[in-house]
Amino acid sequence: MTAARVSAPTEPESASTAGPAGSAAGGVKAAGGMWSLRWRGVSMRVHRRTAWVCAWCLAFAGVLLVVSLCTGAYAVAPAQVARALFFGTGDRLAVFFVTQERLPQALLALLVGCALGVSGAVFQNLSRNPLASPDVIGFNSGAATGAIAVLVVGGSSAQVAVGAIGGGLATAAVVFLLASRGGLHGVRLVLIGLGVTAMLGSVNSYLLTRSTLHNAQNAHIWLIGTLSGRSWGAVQVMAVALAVLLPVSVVMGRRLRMLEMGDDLARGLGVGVGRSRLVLTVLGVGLCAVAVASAGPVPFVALAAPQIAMLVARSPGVSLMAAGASGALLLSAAHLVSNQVLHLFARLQLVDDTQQDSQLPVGVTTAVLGGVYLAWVLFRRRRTTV
Amino acid sequence: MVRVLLRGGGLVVVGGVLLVLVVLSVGVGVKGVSWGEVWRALWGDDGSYAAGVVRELRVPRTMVGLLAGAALGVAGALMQTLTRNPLADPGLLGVNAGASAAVVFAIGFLGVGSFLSLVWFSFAGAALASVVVYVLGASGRGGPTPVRLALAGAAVSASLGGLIAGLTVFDAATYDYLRFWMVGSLAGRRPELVGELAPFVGVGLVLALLLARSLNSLALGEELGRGLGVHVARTRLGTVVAVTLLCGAATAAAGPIGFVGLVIPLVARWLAGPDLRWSLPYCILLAPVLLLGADIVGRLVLPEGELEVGAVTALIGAPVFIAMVRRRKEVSL
Repeated sequence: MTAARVSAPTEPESASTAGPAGSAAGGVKAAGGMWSLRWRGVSMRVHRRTAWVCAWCLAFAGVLLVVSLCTGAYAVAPAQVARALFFGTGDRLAVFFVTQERLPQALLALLVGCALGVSGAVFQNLSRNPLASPDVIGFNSGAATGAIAVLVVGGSSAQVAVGAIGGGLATAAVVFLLASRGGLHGVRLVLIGLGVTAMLGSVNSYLLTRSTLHNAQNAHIWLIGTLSGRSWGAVQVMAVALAVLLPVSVVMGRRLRMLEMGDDLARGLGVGVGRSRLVLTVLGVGLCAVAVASAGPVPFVALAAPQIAMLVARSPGVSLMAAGASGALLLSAAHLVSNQVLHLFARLQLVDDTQQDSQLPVGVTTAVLGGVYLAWVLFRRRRTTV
Repeated sequence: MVRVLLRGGGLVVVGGVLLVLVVLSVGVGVKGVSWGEVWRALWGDDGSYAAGVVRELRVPRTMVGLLAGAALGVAGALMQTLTRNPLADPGLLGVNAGASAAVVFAIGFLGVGSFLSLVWFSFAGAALASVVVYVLGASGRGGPTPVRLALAGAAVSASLGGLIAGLTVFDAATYDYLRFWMVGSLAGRRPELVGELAPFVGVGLVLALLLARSLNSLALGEELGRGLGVHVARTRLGTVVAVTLLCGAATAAAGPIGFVGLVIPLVARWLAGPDLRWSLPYCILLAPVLLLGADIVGRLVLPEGELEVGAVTALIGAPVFIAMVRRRKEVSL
């Protein structure tokens, strides 16, 4: 029995959907739905529609960021937002909300979404399974165990982040050691990850039933994934991490393409299969680790972003950059909706008024929105097989 | 011939292990009841304390464990064959999410206050969710293809999971119920529950065994299966119905117990080969072995009280599973 392949059948690109066709200026040549970029002896082939998807995703995410600066429990006019941002003047409350709360959280949504998207794409490619996410090697459940253990004894949020990273990395390391017998085999890694994940899941649900309701509730919110209460410190950590890890993933993305063709063929093309796989896995784990530490295990972004990017771009495989861009858009949108939806709930009297000030965890929205969107994509593409 | 004998012998061995566990499950527990008392209680209700413990608590618990275990194991095997994805578990059809959502709805909005009356809610929720997943997955031109079904299941599970999370964040009382339901337990089930759930599990198991041949052919690929005379759409629909019956009943009875439905089918395939006519019987026996074994350990491991079976299954099963994965030279899914 073979795992279902990630890649969808390649569709011939129709000229009308392909953006500016024909020969572009400079070192860009277009052929067969691909752009060849040349610059000082370095050349790169870029799937045209994928590049457009990246650009559109980032543009939309930028728009959403601006909108989220203006809206919220305390509405701020766009002109005031601009003044608060660039000069730090105006209504003091507005300056505080915009620069200390909304901007860092909106940026964090972008960065975390991007990290999760790329990380998901790495793991889906490595295991050649569209259901795979960073969780296949047990990272998220290990992080959850670490975080719950800290929360159950009542630790601070910084301690929780440390606990999460520690738990996640320790788990990933254990999975690796267990799986590394006779070279790093992709399938063995996934299976052992499954086993370890299941064990930790047991521990987690046990810990939740044995703690006080208050602590369990806190852990519950962390486990859903939330951006509330995050500030510039988290943004800085994320930004530095992405600045290091994203360039690496651009380079490694090409290795992934080759690994996709099968170990033997990749080896024949001169790819060090074992080492590439190790580097890619470390990359995926690293991206996931920083994301989880800043926002908790936000669900579904890592799973859905690569698939959505692939469906929209109609590319033959999962592109890391497109997955990152669509992840950033997904989480930004979810963040915006989360901030609005509680007012709606209060108006419908689904929650009482005292809870209006608290935020809806962004993980709730990513799950619901992502799920509905995936269902819609499936429904819309009902004329095709995937 | 040798292969058939080996497989048959393996089945007998697993059956023997299961029998031992059934005996232990009835005889061992927190409440000190001697084996003699257990034996007498089994043959007649003499009104004693021991008879109460055995007849009201341990026998129903063991029966629920047998039914739920077999159901989860077979549902997992069907699900993995149907979606051609070894990472698929019975929860993928949205069964667990549907059941959880129904439980949250029943507690939060209808004020249902006891675990026992939640059974039918969770069953209805599971059935409803899997119907939605199937309709969504089957809406494509090629009918319910493996990838479409898997993605539809992921979509519905995620949406429902998000709703559950959103509702429970603001409703501590409901969350308090949910966190205990989510663990999965066999303890404290009504004796009548066994009779109520047995028909669902029975029909599901029979349906699964009847479908085994067609699914074998379909596993070779859709075209080849059709060429071998399999009615593809009907087989897939039947499989989804079977998974819903089995997994819905198991989840309603014991909560969303993970791991069993995911791993037992893999182990059964290693032991029995890819032929479902052999690996399904292995699943039927192996899964209750894991579930009852975990339940027994959960009763004994704590100095006071019990550990829920859902918290133990993976703790016992996973190390065995990992050891098996490591021992195999060529791991294939």
